[in-house]
Amino acid sequence: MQRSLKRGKKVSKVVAFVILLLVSVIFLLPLLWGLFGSFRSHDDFYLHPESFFPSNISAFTFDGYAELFSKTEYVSSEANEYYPIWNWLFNSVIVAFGGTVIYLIIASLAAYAFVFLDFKYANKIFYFLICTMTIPGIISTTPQLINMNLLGVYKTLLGLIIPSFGGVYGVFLIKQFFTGIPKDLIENARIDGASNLKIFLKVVLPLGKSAIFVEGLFGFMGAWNDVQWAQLIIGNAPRTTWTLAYGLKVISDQCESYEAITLSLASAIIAMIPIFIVYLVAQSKIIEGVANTGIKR
Amino acid sequence: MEKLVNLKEFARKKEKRKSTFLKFLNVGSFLGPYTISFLMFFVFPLVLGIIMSFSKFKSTSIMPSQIGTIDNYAVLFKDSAIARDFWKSVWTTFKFCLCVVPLSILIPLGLALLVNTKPPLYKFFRAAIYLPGIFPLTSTGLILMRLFDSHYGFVNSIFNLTTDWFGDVASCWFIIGLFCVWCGIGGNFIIFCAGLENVDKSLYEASDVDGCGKFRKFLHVTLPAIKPQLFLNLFTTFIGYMNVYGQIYMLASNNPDLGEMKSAVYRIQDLLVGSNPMSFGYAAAMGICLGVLIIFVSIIQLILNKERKVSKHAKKFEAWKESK
Repeated sequence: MQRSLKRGKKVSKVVAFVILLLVSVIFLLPLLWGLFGSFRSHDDFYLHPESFFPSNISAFTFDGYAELFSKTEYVSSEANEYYPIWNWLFNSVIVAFGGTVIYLIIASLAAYAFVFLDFKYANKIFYFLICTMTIPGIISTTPQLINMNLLGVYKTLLGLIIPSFGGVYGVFLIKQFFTGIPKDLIENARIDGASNLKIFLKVVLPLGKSAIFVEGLFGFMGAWNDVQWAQLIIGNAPRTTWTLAYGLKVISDQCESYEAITLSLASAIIAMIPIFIVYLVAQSKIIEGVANTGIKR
Repeated sequence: MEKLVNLKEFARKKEKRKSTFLKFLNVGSFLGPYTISFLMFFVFPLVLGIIMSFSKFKSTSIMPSQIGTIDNYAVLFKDSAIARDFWKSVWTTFKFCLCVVPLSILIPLGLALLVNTKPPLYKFFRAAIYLPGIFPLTSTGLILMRLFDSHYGFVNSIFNLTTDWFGDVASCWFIIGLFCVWCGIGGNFIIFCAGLENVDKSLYEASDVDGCGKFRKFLHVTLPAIKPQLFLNLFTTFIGYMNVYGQIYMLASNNPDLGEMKSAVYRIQDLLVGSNPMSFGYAAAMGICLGVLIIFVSIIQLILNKERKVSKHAKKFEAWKESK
């Protein structure tokens, strides 16, 4: 009985391994095809569409990248094929990185207030905040656009950054983590005469930095990948204020012909590289962060 | 002597006042920035949205020309072109959800069950399956478009097909569904993995002793244990796909029957991208209609969740206790 149970486990492990291998391969294949495709000459796509890799060594080329970066200067005769990709990269970094850092500062200050400064109605206010999370975002999409207009940040990068500052989820996550910090530590620091700012900087932040980091990762990825809001805010702006994720959509629309396939794949790969680096560095943290949302709630 | 006492009292009072003032200052400085941004970027748009949905706009100004009319809603619930398009899109979105949400629950659940047997390399598999979802939809969508290209695409040429995947409504929805599974199941998958990891192992041992089969073990041990994750995923996935936009925007915008492909959010986005303020009132009203619909469905889900929490046996036991 015991032995058959063990063997059964082994068999199921082998079956699981095979199926998972298959699924992982299917999930990774399109990405790899895109990666190799960005190094293929477009004639190779035309002659050997069935080939997964560049079909021979001479079909391997950097032309796609070279062409993409040759279109970063504005030429009035080819106004449609003007892809200032350095600007886009820079803008994406500003939006994703700058916006996230500022939000994290605001949110962790608020979380500190909710956990360690026991003021009147703190719990009730926080409960109210959590309730607002259930309001679907689509309700405020239109008015938010007007709001950005009123603040004068329509068609600017600031218009992409500041709406996220009102988000509740980050405060919620960071507060959850701060609640786990022993209150005695804070009390001791207070008795030693430390100010709240000092406690926040010297005690709470060092202890909570992993939670804040994880929240930051998600904020970064969300802002980097955003297309919907970007289309509304900067879609009508000059091309130099676009972000990479939005610019890609335009590249994909304008590069329908097979001659442009290498170029469009190259642009897709470029937009993926920063996110991929983040994933490589912090893969376990990201996965742990996603997992925690399922366990703690 | 009396004076001294008064002085003490005075000092204490002053100290107290000072401390409440300090506390107020502290709370204000820590909570202040967030309060301001929350009011400005969350509360204000919400209120403005409700006002806008009851306002008329002229094409010259982003400010409403007339407030306090129900015209926008009247048009949306009348037999007009705008209303027909919008409700058709809502229905399309809903049908899309009915197809994609079960897939986005069942596929990751199955994969998580496989990962939970801890085969070799399972950490790599977990990372690989989560990977496609982290990239911008425009990147992965662009690759998918090229992969399924009718002439030079890899898929068509190795299977010897000539299907124009993006030119036809049905096949385009199929690819969008594929896209949603490929890039959208990562989060659910990881959450299921974590849920399965946290199932009490002794329950399995006990069911082994009782001679439970694999399927019964899954039905009576695993499923109840991961119910919180199941509901969380169902909830978030459903809301997520009721708001589907990016996938369709990326893959279907060259479709000749684009009208058949538009989701509800796509319609709203259309009105806003045109940036003609005349349609802002409709857009706000549509947003509220869709939002209310989403809230309504979420409430149904929550009620179902609550009812399930109190199991049949517990109810029977309560009833039995009542009758005694």
